[in-house]
Amino acid sequence: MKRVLTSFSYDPQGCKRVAYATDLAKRLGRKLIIFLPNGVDKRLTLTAQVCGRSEFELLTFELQYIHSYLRQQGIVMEDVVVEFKRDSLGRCVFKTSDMIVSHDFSVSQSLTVLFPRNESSVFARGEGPLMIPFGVGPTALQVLSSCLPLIKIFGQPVLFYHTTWEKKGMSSSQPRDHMCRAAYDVLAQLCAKAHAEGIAYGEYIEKVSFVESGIVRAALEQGVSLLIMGRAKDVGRGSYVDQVLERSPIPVLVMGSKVLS
Amino acid sequence: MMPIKSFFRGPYGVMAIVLVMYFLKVTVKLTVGYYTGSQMITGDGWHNTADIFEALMVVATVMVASRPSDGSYPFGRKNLESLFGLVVGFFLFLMGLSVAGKSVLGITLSLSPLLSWKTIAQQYFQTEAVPEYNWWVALIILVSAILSLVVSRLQIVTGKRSGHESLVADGEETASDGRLEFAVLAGVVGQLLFGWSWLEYPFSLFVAYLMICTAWEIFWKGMDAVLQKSIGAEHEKVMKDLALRLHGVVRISDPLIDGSVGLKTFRVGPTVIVILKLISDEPLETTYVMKRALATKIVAYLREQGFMDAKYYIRTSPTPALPTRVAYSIVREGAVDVIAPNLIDATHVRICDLEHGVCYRWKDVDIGSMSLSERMTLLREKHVSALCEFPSSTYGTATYLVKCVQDGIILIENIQWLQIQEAPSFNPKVLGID
Repeated sequence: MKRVLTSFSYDPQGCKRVAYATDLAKRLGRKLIIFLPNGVDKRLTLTAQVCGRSEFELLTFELQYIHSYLRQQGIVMEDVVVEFKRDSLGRCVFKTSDMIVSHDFSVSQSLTVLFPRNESSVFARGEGPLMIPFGVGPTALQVLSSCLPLIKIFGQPVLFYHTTWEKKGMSSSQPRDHMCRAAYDVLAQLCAKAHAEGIAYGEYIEKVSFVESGIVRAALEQGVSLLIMGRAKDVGRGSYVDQVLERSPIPVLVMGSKVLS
Repeated sequence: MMPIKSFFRGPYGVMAIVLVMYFLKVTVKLTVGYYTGSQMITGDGWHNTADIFEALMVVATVMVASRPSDGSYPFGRKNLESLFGLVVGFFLFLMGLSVAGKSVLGITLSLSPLLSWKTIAQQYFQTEAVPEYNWWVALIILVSAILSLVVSRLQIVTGKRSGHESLVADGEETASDGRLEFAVLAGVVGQLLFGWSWLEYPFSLFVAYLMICTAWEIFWKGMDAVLQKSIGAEHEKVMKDLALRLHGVVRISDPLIDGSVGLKTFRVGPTVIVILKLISDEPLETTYVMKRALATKIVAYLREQGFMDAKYYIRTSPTPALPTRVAYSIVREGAVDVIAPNLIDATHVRICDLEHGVCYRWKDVDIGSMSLSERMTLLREKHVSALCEFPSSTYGTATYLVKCVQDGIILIENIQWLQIQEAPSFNPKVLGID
């Protein structure tokens, strides 16, 4: 991941978003690009006329104001390479290695987006594991492979989470015994991969009625710092990613389909 | 039907064992006491009869305390067990004092060189300095003491496991009985072997000390539960930390800001009650999941700390909103709006209602044809507390208004209610009011 991108706005969420993106860029050692909403347009020209200032003066004033505003909010950018861009985040040409920090759920599904929720830094609630939910498909494996650098930098264990249906006729109360063969295989591959990469890992298997609530509850119980998910290509409606995004107070990293492919 | 093994692992099974033990003790002690003529064994037999009634009271207490909570008793009836503990603690304390007094007296009588003092003491307290014992007595006391200790252990373990404080308190009392019996046994054996009947008294004094300590602990444990004392600041701090580490929690309710205390803990019998109010702006469905997750963490922590049963009442409420109304001076040219440098050059004012710093409603008012005085009146009538404008190289509204006051065009009373603020951007879209 070469760049961390985010957008600035003057609301409390905008401030937390920039704070989170700054912390993330600092930890990953990446360049931070902050998109400022004002470009050279009719509004700038009109303001220049009304205020008796040049357009350059106006833009400089605004940038100075943003810097002082962020400092007031306790956001220190000294250890990060920061670039301010006067453009809309939506018009940016993205690279597959980019990570976008956003509160907007409508960001393209092909991009890797970190939704920071109401947090202002990665470990604001204390250091905790990262959670990768898995099913019977290859998505979780692709997610793990794509996130390996991030996981290693964070230095936190990974928790593989799975919810299973109850097998009829199975008397065991252990949820693991109710897993299907395909899920076992995925878990085995995830564990093997994590082991090979020298990452600490654990598993959390349970039987719950609603997968998305189960993911969020288990993550909260385990003190998870970041949920990492990927969008399965074959889901038509009701993606677990979207449902988790609606419910989770924990930051969620959604790996873009371009990255996973 | 409950399997026999499970029954005897439960509180009723254990109390059945206790009752059988006391019936055996009473029968054997009264019979042996009668045939051997030992006043001590006979007296102890009658003491055990009282223990039978105490055991029956424990059974009744457990039965009532086990009833589930309902509308009339929202926290259940487990405080009855604490009350029972209170009574047991009190009587155990009295018993401890009595044993200590008798032991001191016994030691004094045994060691006193003054024959007259011995005689006076024996007359007043009807205490035999050298009582008569035999090996039957020693055997009965030994078996009785062992039984007491074994059964008391069973009571305490089962009481703690099943969360019945009355069982634990009764178990402690039975254990004290057992320890006392061992002390007496030491005296009996000392008398039979070496003629040292005084050996009983130092042991009894030590047992009395243990009894008073146990009584003190049982009594205050019951008292704390009855008076609903907090389970401790250190536990509350950990619980608060657990809550604050939970994503989605803004803070724990603060009485000064939110009007209610954030965390209250107390005990009802052995059950810890946790009442927690959190401030969270997450949607209802998410707060439900958050509450469940936090409850799991709190219960796990309390278990680690030896609190076997806990009930939690976790509520969430959003950050209290302080709605404010501000206005932005706007210059409109065609379809383009920008923030004006002052109210004088503005064509419109955008009146915005804010909550948590975010605008949730705005409305434009055309002020193009209004005089400055009318514009100020409009802002006042609309209850606007602040006027925001983008700084220019010329002058702002504040400067202009001050000049107007100096020139006598406007009275200072008519402007001092309004705050003038600097808008950080000229673009309404950036400010979230587009």
